[in-house]
Parts: sequence; C-alpha cells; structure tokens
Amino acid sequence: MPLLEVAALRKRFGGVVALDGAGFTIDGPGIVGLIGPNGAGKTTLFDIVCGRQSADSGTIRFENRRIDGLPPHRLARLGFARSFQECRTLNEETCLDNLLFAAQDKRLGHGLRGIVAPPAQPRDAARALLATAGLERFANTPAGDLSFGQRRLVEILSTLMAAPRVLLLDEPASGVNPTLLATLAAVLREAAPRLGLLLLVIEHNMAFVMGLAARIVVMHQGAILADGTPADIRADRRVIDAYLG
Amino acid sequence: MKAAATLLAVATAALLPVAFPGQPYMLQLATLTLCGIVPAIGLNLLFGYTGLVSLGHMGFAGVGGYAAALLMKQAGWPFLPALGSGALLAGAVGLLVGIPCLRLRSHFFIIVTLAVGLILSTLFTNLDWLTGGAEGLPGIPRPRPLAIGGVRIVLATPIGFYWVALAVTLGALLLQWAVVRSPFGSALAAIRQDETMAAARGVDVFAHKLAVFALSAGIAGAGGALQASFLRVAAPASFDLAASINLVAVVIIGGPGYLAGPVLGSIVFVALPEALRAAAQARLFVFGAVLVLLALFAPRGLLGLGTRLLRRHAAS
Repeated sequence: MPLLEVAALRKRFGGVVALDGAGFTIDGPGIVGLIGPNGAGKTTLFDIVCGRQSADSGTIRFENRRIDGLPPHRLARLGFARSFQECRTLNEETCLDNLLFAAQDKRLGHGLRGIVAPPAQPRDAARALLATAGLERFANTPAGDLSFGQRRLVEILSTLMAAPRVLLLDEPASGVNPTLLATLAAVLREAAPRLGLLLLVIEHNMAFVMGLAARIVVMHQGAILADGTPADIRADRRVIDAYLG
Repeated sequence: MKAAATLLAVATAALLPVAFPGQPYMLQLATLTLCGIVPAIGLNLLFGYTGLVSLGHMGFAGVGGYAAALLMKQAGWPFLPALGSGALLAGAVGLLVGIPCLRLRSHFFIIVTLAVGLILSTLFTNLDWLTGGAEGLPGIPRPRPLAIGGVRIVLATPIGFYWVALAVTLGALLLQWAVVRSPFGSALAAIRQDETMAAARGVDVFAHKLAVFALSAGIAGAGGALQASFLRVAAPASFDLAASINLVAVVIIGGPGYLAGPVLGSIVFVALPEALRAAAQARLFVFGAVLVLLALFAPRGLLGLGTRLLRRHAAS
C-alpha cells in the first residue's frame, strides 16, 4: 500500500494551466525533493495536497484513502503538516509558545475542556527541540523579533513538534544563511527517520535538496518531467535542458 | 507579583463603598462601570483575542437584559438564575447569528455585525408586547437577600448591589482568564495572527470563531442582565447602536487583547465624561480626539501604551 499517491492533478487559473496531469507515488517514509523552474506548479501541488486549494480533477490518496477535497484542518489531524514559502509563524508569541501551540490537540472539544482543566504542555520536549537548532536562547523571545532565517527554523521545528506523518516544506532554504542552512539540514536528516516521516521538499537550492533527498521529482509546466535518484536527475538530459542548465 | 497586584485591586474594589461612605453618586458610578466591564470582556474575547470586530454587540447584551428582566418581573425568578438564563439565551442567539455571518471575511463580517445590532435594537423598540417598546420593561425587582448559614446579606441596597455587580464582574474576568490561557485561547490567538497557518496546523477556524462568538455574546448577555437589574429597567437606549459603538471604544481605549483592558477602558469611559462635566459641550469632541490619538499612537490601547513605555524604560 503506497503512503501517498498523487494522480493526474489538473488545475487552471483562468488561461494559465498550473497543473497538467501531475502525479507520483511514494511508497513509504523518506525524504523526497520536488524541483523545477518557477511556475512549474510545485506550490500549487503543495496547496492542493494540503487542502488550501482544490484541484479541477485528479485524486490524492493517503494510505489508500481519498483525501483530496478535505479542508486543511482535517488533513492536519490526519498527520499532514506544512511550511509556507513566505514563512508563517505566530509572531506575537514566543518561540517556545510557537512550538507548544503546534503540539497542542487542536480539536474544539479538547480546547474547551482545557478552559476548566488546562492540559499539561510538553515544555521540555519543546525546549529540547529548540536546542537541536541552537535556538534555546530565543525560547522566550517573540518569533517576530527573530531574523527571517531563524523564523524559518522556528516554523519548521513547530511542524515537527506536531509529530506529523507527512511534512511538506516549501522552499525551506530560501532566505536562510549557510550556517543556519547546515543546521536545518541536520535537524531534518535526524528527524525524518526518527518520526517515520515522509518529507516532501520544494527547493531551488540544488546542493541543499540533492544532499538531503534520496529521490527527486522534477516538475515542468505542470507535469512530471523526471523522477529518480539525485545522481539520475543530475545526468538527465531533459532536466538539464529544462531547468538545471 | 501579578497575583499580588490582582488581589490588591480586588480588595480595593470590594472596600470602595466602605472607604467612601455616604457618597451615593460615586457608588452609582462605580456600579455603572462594573456593568460596562462585563460586556466589554465579551467583546475583548472576540475582538482583542480573536481579531473579529463586532459593531452590534450590545444587541446581544440586550437579549440577555430583556430575558432576565422578563424572568424576574413576570416569572418572579431570583437574580442569579435570571442572569444565567439571559446569558445562555444571548449565547444561543449569538450561535444562530454566527452561523451565517462568520462565513464572511474581514470588513464584510463587520458590516453584518452592524446590521445584526440594528436589527436587534429595532426589535427591542418595536416588539411592544414583549419588550414594552420605547418605554422598555421598568420595575425590575431588586435581588433578594442572600442567606449564608445564619448571616443575611442584604443585596437590595446600593452597596449590596455594588457587591453583586462586583461578584459578577469578577466571575466574567475569571472566565476570560481561563479562556485565554486554555488551548482554546491559544487557537483563538493563532486565528488572529494568521488564519491560514492556524488551519494548516489543524484548527477548525470556523468552529472556533463560532464558539468564541457565542461565548462572547453570552458574556455580553450577562452584562446586559446585570445592567438591567441595576437600573431596574430594560430599555432600548441601553442596547442601541450608539451603545454598541461605545462598547468597541471601551475595548480599544483599555487595550484589546489584555485581560485588564475592559476594566481600564470602562473606568476611563465612565470617569472621563464625569471629569469633563464642566465642559459638557466639549465632551464628545474631546472623546473623539482621544480615540483618534489612541488609534494613531497606541493601537493596543492604554495598556499597550503602558507596556511599551515600561519595556522601553527597562531597556534603557
């Protein structure tokens, strides 16, 4: 039974075709890179998988269950998490609270019961996770006071805090300096097998994504152009022509 | 530190009528301030914490006020069950109104809340058989004496009712505090800061908005019931559009998203007009100017301004 199966997704925005039959199958946990030129449809595909947009046609299955058309919060409860290209954190909350919020049970009933009996919070686990990325000294700093790269790390650590089964990262390396980037790669390389996570990464930073992922899917003009190991992709004539140059 | 300050404030408020005996006007003002704090707490949860502006919230206070008035006057219910039922009914109306309205976003939602406030206040004025029309429902009986063991506490006197109002206000403040620190409260804060992100993290945004809207309408309803039984009349003027706009002003002045915001806002809102009584004609003008200045320089109200100044002082 494949873990995630995306089949024949199509999406148009007026006259622009964003997705033109894109599909791929992922059998189990691991790290998969999704690359391709700007406008290839990568973020649209992410948005559809996470329920932020709906496809015109096509199906998505998670462990053989149809999940296309489910709203984002339902998908999140099934174990989907994502980061955003533009980086979204709770800027008024401290870094620690950002992680604690991600870890919390979001069902309304649970939240309302918590008014009478506040649940225990995994503060130690959150601090430990912040420490793995060298952010422990910012635990009590509002996320909005951090640099963009640091906020990116807080965003990704938050998604990990929810112990997701599928994590989609949209350009995690953009705007992150080389030192922080090395930290990020180390955090992800350690977390993915530990959580039994399927990590899907959209990225333009080839060194970063090729070093991280065991499998690369290349998108071009809304469809899948190539699919294989980083070595295969680097040698693929069509990919070089369309993207790598 | 914070706990000590809170305790001190509560003790001061409780002893106020004893410390200033023979000042019925002061006591009247203090009770009126308390009556204003409760609906402001309701709006603070909705506006300050969740980021949803309602321009018709005193309409819900009116639902609670009229319901409690009818129950006490016609059915002879005691004060507390009447207040509770008024709050529940206002919450239920909030839930029903929220289902269609909360599907709208930002300014569309604000406009619809304005319309809801107008509809409710029109109903209060025109459903003569139920609400007494323009005259309202006068002659609400005072709360009966409370007997705890052998001690009999008279609540019908001005001082007695002040303590009743204080107890209800403290209850609402306690509820606000419990909501804000709960997981429900963090989800509301996340919705205010970034709805898309909150949804991606698993928050059912619509359900949470609906729940806080109903809760906020219910608290406003309790405030309306308290005010009606203090004034001994449920009248349309207490729950009209101007009252709703004033409520938004109270929350903005005090500091939206602060636990003590409604308290400070209500004190300023009641005290400032009194201080400006000498220049009655300039009152609204000064008030408008204060609101504009706050919007320009202190978008998070007086408490936001105070916190910022304190932080700057600590940094230097």
